[in-house]
Amino acid sequence: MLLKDIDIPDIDGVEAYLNHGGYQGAAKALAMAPRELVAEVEASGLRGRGGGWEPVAHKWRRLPQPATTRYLCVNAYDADPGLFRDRKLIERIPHRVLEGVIIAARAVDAHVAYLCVRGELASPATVINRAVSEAYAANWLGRDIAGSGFDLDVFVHPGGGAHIAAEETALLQGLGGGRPEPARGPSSHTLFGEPALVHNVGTLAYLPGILCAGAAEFRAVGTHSYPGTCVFCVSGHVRRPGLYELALGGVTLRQLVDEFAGGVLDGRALKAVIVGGTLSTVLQPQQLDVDLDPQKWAIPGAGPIDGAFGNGAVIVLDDTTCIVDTAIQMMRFYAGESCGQCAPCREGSSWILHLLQRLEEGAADADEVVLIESVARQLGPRLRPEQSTSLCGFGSAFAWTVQDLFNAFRAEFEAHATAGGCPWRDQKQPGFRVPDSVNVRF
Amino acid sequence: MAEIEGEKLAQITWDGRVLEVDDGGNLLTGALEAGIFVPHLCFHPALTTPAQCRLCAIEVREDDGESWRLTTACDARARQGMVVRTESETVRQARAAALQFQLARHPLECPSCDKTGECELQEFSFAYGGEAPYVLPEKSTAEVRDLGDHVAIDPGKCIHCTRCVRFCKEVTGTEELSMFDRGDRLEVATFPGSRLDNRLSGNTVDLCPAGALIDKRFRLQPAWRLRGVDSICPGCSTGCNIRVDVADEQVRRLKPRVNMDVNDYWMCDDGRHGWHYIHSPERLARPLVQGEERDLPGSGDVVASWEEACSALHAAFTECRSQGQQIGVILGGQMTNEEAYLLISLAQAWDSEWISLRDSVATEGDITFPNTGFTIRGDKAANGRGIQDVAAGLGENLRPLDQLLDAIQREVVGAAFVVGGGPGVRPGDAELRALGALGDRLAVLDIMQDELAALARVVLPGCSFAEKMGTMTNVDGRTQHLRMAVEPAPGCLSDIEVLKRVAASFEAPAAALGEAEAIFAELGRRVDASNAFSGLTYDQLPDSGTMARPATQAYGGGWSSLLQRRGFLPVEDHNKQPPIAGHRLADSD
Repeated sequence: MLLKDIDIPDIDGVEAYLNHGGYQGAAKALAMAPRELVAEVEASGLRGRGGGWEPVAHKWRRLPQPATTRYLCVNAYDADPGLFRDRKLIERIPHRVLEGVIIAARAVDAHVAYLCVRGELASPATVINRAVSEAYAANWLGRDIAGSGFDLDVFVHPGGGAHIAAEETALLQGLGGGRPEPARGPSSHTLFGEPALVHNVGTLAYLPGILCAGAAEFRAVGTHSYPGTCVFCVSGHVRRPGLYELALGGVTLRQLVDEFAGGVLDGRALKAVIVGGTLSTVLQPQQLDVDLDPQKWAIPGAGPIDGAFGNGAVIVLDDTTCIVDTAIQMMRFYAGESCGQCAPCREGSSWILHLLQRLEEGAADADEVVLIESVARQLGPRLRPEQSTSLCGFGSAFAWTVQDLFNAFRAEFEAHATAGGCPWRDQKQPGFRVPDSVNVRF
Repeated sequence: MAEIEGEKLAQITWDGRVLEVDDGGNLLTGALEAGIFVPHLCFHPALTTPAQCRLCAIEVREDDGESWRLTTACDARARQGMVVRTESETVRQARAAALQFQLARHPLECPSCDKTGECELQEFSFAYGGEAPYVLPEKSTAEVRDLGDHVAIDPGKCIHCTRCVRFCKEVTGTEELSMFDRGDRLEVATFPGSRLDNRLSGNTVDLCPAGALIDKRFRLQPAWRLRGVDSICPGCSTGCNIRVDVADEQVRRLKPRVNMDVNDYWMCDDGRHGWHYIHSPERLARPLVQGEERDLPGSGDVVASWEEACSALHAAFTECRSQGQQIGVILGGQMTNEEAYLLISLAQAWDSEWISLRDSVATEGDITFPNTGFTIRGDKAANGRGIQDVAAGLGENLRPLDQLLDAIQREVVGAAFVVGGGPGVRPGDAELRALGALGDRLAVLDIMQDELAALARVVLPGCSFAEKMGTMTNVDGRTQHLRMAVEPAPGCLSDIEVLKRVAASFEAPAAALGEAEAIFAELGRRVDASNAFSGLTYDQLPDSGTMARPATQAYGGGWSSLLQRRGFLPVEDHNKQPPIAGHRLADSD
């Protein structure tokens, strides 16, 4: 549904897009009353693909009434570790994203939309800028779109580079000219003092298809509560890393890793799979026979937890990976990307990183291994999301990942302490790596 | 808690207690108003709530009636039927975690930290922290650097609560400060090319809940050595409520007290740092009767006893009147109502028609911060309005000063009794020139050894605001207590005592008046019903009931009352004081 057509030659141009049925969903949406449009999307059961899985129509209905102005903001950050879906959608088929923007804007009666592209994503920004120009020229943006009487202006905004700038409220803060930091409270979901709606690229790009083919067609795949597909971003030690669009609940994680992604690289053995981007779940080889269904998604040893499924990032680690090294790579990212405003996340991320590095270097003893887990638990116990101490989910996210790694690989952490450093120091492969954060002072 | 008109109340349950708080209002404010202390670091009632420190953790019962969700009180809204608990293991741990994270890299320099003893981080760590907080061996080691004229920052001690940043944005509107960078590199700094130089900058030090922001003139003086005395700033006619902090019988600093009807939580830097003259070696310390050689300032002074000084004054003024000339009286704008009453009564005994109050208006005029309305008045005569009212009560119309100076030139006035005061109410050049013509018939009640004293035949050493008891009336007509924080400087008497001794030498009735409280009562009895002071006594200057919201009171007493409970701050000193004064005279009609 989402990746359909992306291999058509020149589909990134408006001409090819229109030749392949492009903007027909928008045309339908513009011909409908907003109320009918919301009802149609509600009937489809479409949920947000940013990791929260909130029904899109709920989000629309939740916007405060009445408002003179509303803004639609599109999150095109692809910020989570292991996530590379939205940039591909934009690069390959930008007009489908814009069409989704028009449909959502029509539904909530927004006349200005901001496309917030992560500052580092130069190529997608170039493509989407060109697509916006083409759409204006073809009157699919601007005044009186396609004679419908509906006006919509789209601005492409290169956002601050921090991962945390992609958090919904931080994105709005940054767009409004402030520091991109998560906010809480009544004004946190506003932009320039007006209500603002934030959607992921990967959510909006479903809308044209839903409008064209109808809600029922969308519901034909996926589960009752979670209809449609999910694009999984498989990376790490697999033969065929890449994007895989699969029906929700249709396959198991083992099928995704072994069949679709070709199994572990070089025939080595699997060590762990990290699923879900920021809201990660760490799974061991024997735990992969789980359906890729957010509703049934369970934390090993705990059972289903709302929202734990995350956003479709799947990172595969083989048996040459040092888990402590992996934890360091992840924590380097989190410590670098924390906005720093709340103490648990600011101090906790760098503290855990510091302790892990001592462990890797052989400077830490068994007490410090206990301390790492204890620091993580102070940010929020893994199984009690309602007891998180950080301001936004970012702090508990890395704390949960660390606790997951401990639950699955405690012996390996302890071995580092007793062996006076990494026992595989001389033979190991690089673990999961994320790009070093770009240090932008904002 | 009294219902506030026009606001809906919600009943909530807090650790089993039923509270009535503003429906939809800030939950932390609601709890503080109801007298429940919830520890907090980044929250301040005058600022927006970023919910960053996570210390005001509470658990709110979910709608299912069983499970509990951990959240922060400062960004929660009160709603009817809400059930909150803080006496749970989860909240205890969350508070301890919030403090633990702050302490991990904090340089624990408490014995050499300027904030020690009044540090919220320190105090809350004792009260709510874990038993043995883990401390990283690597400390934040950034160097102390200047932010502005009055404030420096020790970045390693910063807990990133952003109170100072928010203050400069939301209260002063000057926005010199911001947070820079992110993660554990996050820091408070001024924007490039900018300095923290707004006129309220010292308040950032008060706001800082840790030792990061430093008052450059208040170093290494632990809070437990200080004795606080509630008083009024004499810097301008706003009449900010202040606390004078004293150690070893010396004023060490001034801090603002909360009064939402006067100064909110703030005071300006001019007032905050405008007290250093109190302990200056240039202070007048003895009565002087100056001789023939007085052309050189300071030389040829004859140190006199109070009796000798009063009799020299008596002789000069009697001579003046015997020659048919009048005695002029110039009051200073920092005189209390009681002193003004005494001196004006004395002038009446001298049959003087020339009573004046020195105008002390700064050329820059009023400086108002539009976000809050906080105003640094150009009118530096802190008690100008009170003195006018006292004079009116005694049937006198104060004459413009230039008329009096003109009368001296015309030799209608042949002698003068002139009161000086602290910086801001010093005589100007025109006044000094005119007074110079009086020769031996000038008597001065003043604080500083400068040009005015050099001109005078009789110099009576006076007291600064910190050495006086009395009342002052601010620009809005609010009469407030000025309290003696330190004894009069060695050699000095209270101004009331000095004026009574002068009155005694003339056998004037004012000599029989009592101390400040009795004089105020006498003033209240003597003036007619239309006067602002009519019927007032000290007892009727009410407790801080004039404060806009009880929250501020609870907040103002927040950590300091905690410190008191724990024995860090003397409780009895504050309790012995008469209640905070703030009688708004205009309210009576």
